[in-house]
Amino acid sequence: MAQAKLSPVTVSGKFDKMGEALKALRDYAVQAAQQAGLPKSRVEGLRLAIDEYATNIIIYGYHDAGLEGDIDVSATIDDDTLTISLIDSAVAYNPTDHADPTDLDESLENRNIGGLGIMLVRQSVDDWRYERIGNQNHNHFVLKRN
Amino acid sequence: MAFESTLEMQGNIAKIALVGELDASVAQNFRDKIEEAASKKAKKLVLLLATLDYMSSAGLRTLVFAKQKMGAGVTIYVVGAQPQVVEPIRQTGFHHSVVMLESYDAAVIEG
Repeated sequence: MAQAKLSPVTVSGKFDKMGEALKALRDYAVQAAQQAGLPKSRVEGLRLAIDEYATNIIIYGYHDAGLEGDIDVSATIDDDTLTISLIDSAVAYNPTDHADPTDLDESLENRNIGGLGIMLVRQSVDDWRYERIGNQNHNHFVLKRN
Repeated sequence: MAFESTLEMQGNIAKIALVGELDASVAQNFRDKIEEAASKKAKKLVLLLATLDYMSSAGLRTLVFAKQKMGAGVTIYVVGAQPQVVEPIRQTGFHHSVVMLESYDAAVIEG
């Protein structure tokens, strides 16, 4: 079963380059999802997930922590799955340690706005694996193709 | 397409049209328009989203900001949102707090 791979891409994790980086990562995710033959709703879900998580890397992982670095994105497509991997050298952040918001039915002015991005990521992917390797965070977002 | 937002006042109705892709890097632009609408004492906020191709949680947070800035009594209308913009609104429960319209309905908004 052949594995198809898009070429990996590296974007800057600098705060003042965030617009360019997020756009590049979103477009990469869309390209990968379309290549994997995913339906439009899943393509859009992946676009959102990668943007949301990369935003967190840039703002909280690098900028707020006083760090600088890049984000590497790669895609692996096999018969059953598409996996988008993000690698950064920002502060260690294990997303499985953080629970989703529970106030979804609260009135708008009472909503806690933290955690929305991570929740949207979880709702858009079928599996999410995290590893800390050396000084790097490795996040693997998996979508089933069937 | 690069993100743009424009504000038009019609009485106490603030109409903000969004174009392009709304992510965390441009959300301040949208918030600035909300601040402007609040300064003009708008009582209703109409978000015209037919030309918005993408919105992340940064846009959702701006809805919370709008309620804070304009007062809890303000009604927010989300008009013409494309499916990929509707989806995160629903996934996060924000559809409970805004009026979702497929197109501009003067009877509903201005009535």
